[in-house]
Amino acid sequence: MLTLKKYSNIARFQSLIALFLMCLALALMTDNFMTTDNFWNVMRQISVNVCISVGMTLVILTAGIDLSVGSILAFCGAVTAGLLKYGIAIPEVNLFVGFTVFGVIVSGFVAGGALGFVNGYAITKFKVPPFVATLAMLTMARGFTMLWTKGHPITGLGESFGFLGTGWFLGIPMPVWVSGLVVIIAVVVTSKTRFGRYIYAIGGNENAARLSGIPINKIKIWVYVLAGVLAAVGGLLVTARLDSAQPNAGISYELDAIAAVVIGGTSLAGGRGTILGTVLGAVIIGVLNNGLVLLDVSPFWQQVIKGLVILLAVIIDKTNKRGE
Amino acid sequence: MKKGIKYTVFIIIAGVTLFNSMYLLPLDEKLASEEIREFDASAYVDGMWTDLQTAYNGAVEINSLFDKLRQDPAQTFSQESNALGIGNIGYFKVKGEGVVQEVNENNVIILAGDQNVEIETEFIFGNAIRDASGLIRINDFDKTSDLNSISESINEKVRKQLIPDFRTKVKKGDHISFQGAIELNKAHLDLNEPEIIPISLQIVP
Repeated sequence: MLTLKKYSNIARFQSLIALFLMCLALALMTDNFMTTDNFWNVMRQISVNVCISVGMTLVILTAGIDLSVGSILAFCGAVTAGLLKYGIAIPEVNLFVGFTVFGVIVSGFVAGGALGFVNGYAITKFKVPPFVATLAMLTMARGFTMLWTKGHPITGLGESFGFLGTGWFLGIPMPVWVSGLVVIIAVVVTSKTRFGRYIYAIGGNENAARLSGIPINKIKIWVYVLAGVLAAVGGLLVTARLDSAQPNAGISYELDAIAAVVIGGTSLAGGRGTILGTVLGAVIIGVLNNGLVLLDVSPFWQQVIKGLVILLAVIIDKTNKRGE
Repeated sequence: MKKGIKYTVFIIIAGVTLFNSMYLLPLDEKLASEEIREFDASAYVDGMWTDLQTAYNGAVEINSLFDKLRQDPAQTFSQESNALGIGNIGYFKVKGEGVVQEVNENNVIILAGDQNVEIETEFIFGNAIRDASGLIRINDFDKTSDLNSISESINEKVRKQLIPDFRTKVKKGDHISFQGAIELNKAHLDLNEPEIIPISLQIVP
């Protein structure tokens, strides 16, 4: 019979166990899963979701939600590509402003941060529920993307920019380096800094945090700004990898990010969860996506199965909490 | 004092970032260089037309292609089809001869060997001729709109230069030879009455 201690040990590693079982099953059922090429393919694919999910984790830890990350990703990708390809023309003074690769990367971050700031400002100053504020931003950012691109993809961005999405450094794809750096910084920020402790405190009990003198609004705005910047990082990776900014990029990416966060054990009520748990959640989602493709499962069924996995993760999480 | 140092460091970082982020040019100089690079799809297609026709001289006879597709679709797709994108769609260069069965408003049906094929004469759209030729590489073009305009120009040339003369002369019972392109889906292979976008049509006396 399982003792309480043994049960809680299993519960702590349930995501890892699920991932291991999934990998084992796919290795037995397909020829291509356990290959180096497929490993790097999966890692490259999850890199974008890892970046977005890390931002989403910060938001959810404060008991918020950000539905706009997919649209912000598309907007930042489009801004980056547009500035790199066409620059800015100012006919009044006969001036053309061109941008370097470094310049467009900074511009993408600024664009993502600005949209995140609008989210945070609406949520904290006007008390708009995060769900509504970010839902509004989801449609606005998509609209801005369509206006910026006129509905057409922007392609042919050059090799130096493409290196960010397709290049390799020390035998590891660049998107994996970028997402790895994002994870390391996020782990340090959430576990070793005052800002990180404030995030957990706000999500755990906002009133208690306010009474303790924590600047709630300032921290929340920064969290949404960071979520925007990390969506921009995802946008840069997608755009660089495809050598093209697609106006409809990032549709439903927010759902994959929320799924990674939830599967990784972060509580949707806030105050509980880890960045590494989210990374594990993103890996599970990535392996699941890859496995369903390798098993030639219909795309329609893939959506059903992914939904069931998320539901199962939440049910198990709730059951564990009741057990605790 | 501390604030002063903070602002100074911020201004220096912002300045260095801006300096490395952008460059300035006179707009008229920039526009002049853009005009030179403007893509003229019509001229491009005129330039490649002979090569395109030569490529279609190497087309596979349609009945022999269909026999191969029935026997081993995967290998036939990999050997005979071309496509610019990834996925299940493949474009084939085909040729054949046959007797006209019907002359319809939008197409001409001919019996080639043991099966009917549909020669499109009205709806000449899509990328079939461009992609089946295997002459165009996606990386040679900066914009997807340039690629699309190549297909538009090819289709327009077919619509204006090939179809009108053929339509005025063709009648039921004529023996014709054709070259053209077909689009097939590997996952849902349908070989019944294929639709051919023609690039060459001749009524054999």
